[in-house]
Amino acid sequence: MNILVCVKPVPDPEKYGELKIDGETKRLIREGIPTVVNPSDRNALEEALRLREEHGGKVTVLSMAPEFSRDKLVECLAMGADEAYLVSDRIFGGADTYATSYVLAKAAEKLGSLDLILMGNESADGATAHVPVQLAEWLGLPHLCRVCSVEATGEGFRAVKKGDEGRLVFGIRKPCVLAVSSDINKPRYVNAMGLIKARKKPLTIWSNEDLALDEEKLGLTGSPTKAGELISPDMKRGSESLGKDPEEIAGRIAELIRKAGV
Amino acid sequence: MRKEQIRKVMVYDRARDGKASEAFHQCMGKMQEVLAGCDTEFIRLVMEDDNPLTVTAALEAEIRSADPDLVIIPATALGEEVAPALGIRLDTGVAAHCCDIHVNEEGRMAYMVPAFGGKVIGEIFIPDTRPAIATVKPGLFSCGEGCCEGFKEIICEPPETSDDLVLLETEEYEQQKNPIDKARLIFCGGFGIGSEENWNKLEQLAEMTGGAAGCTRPVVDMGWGPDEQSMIGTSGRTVRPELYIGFGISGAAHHLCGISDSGTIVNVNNDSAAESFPASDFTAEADAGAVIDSLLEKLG
Repeated sequence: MNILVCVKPVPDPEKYGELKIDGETKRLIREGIPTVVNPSDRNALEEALRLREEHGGKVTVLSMAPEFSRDKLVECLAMGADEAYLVSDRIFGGADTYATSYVLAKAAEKLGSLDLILMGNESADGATAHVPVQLAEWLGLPHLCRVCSVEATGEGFRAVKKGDEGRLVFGIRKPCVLAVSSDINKPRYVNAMGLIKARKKPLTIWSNEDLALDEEKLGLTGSPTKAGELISPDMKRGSESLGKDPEEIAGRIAELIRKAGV
Repeated sequence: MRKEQIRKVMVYDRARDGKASEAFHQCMGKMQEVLAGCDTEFIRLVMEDDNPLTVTAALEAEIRSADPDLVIIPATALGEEVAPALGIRLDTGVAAHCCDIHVNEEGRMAYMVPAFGGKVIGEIFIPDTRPAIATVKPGLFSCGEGCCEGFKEIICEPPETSDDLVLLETEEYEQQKNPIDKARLIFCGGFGIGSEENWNKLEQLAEMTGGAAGCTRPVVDMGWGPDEQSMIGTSGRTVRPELYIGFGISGAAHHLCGISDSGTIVNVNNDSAAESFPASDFTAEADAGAVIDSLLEKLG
């Protein structure tokens, strides 16, 4: 089975509480927040590795990111992917999901025939959950999101989606794009042996020279959505202390419950 | 896009057995409010199906035929897949999970989209492409059933069947006794409640008081009992109870966002540095389990 996993390096979600907006420039201050592989993309990679373990084949990782994110792809190779591609070019910068998925699709087309493309359902930072679907549409492939279980079948896969009213079991033809939710599996850890092996695996960097894409469709220019201001919602409230004694606290809470009259 | 340029708005409704969904009422009500005074035609687009490929194809056909300026789709599990697919098919921008849509000071339509777990809200514009598409998180706009009329209805034609994606079975979730998004009193457990036992006690408290029990993702992942239907946060449910009481909640941005419309927020945590504290009306630096036990006694 030839599987492609698209991953996105994102600022560490554990630190989003610390994010601030610069009062003057109105830009997000990201400095000091480390970059990690988007958590649900690691679930996607884990699922790919499990499918390879069961059916044989190859797992390729692809990312559109600045060159300094190369080490995130090394991490993916260390987790067990066979090869990695980093698509990186200034001209891709500022892309919304439309322009991002376009670049990923064009890169995927260069990778030869695929049976499956896996990705996390959404990125921790933007969280639009658009890219998997849009990537599929550019490639003319069927897609399914919020997938919590995948099994290979003759013509493709049996995938379970967590729908609004219940779990939906779908049959989907391959090749297809499946966007997985974080409860699908527990991603394996990267260990020292993995890192050593990773160094010998191919990691290729492509710029737009390699992809030769029309500049009008790239980056900010190619993005139909445009960003305006950033706001940090103020969630501050009074924080009045109820003390430290559990009994007293419970008493005050009981009072609040009675007062609320629910 | 300027307010006056919006002549036609379509709002998608998945509906069930012909009955309009609440999410539809919320979206339609909101758009009629935002565009009040404009001569806008509002259309309810109905397609009762859970197959995203089917719904996408059906909506695409109606949209091409009606040529609206704006399409609103509730950001349900279904809507979340349909909207971006339409974005590519129609070569247009899609604003995801809007927590607000309004006309800004310059008269332009602005779509407010949360990012970084809700810590930051970004203003998004879709200036040049049509129709603009926006998905809206259910539960964010309040609109009762009677509060919006004045729209036409189109029942979408089912598209040609495709076997690319076929729905084989549906397993309905267990019905929640007291759905959390409507609850007026919520007892919420975070990772700090430490055990399945304490989760069960929260459910007891909910039962005793007619409230509901909610949780954060770590509690679901630990297998202490609740499933995602009880999970509160930007990727789970948004709630607006009169009274929210959190136990062992650290206060991750996305959770705080999901409760920010609550009347009164109380948080109990043995860590006074918890980020949930500054966002609370009342705080209690104590062991969650001890307070829960005491509360059970007092309310029992």
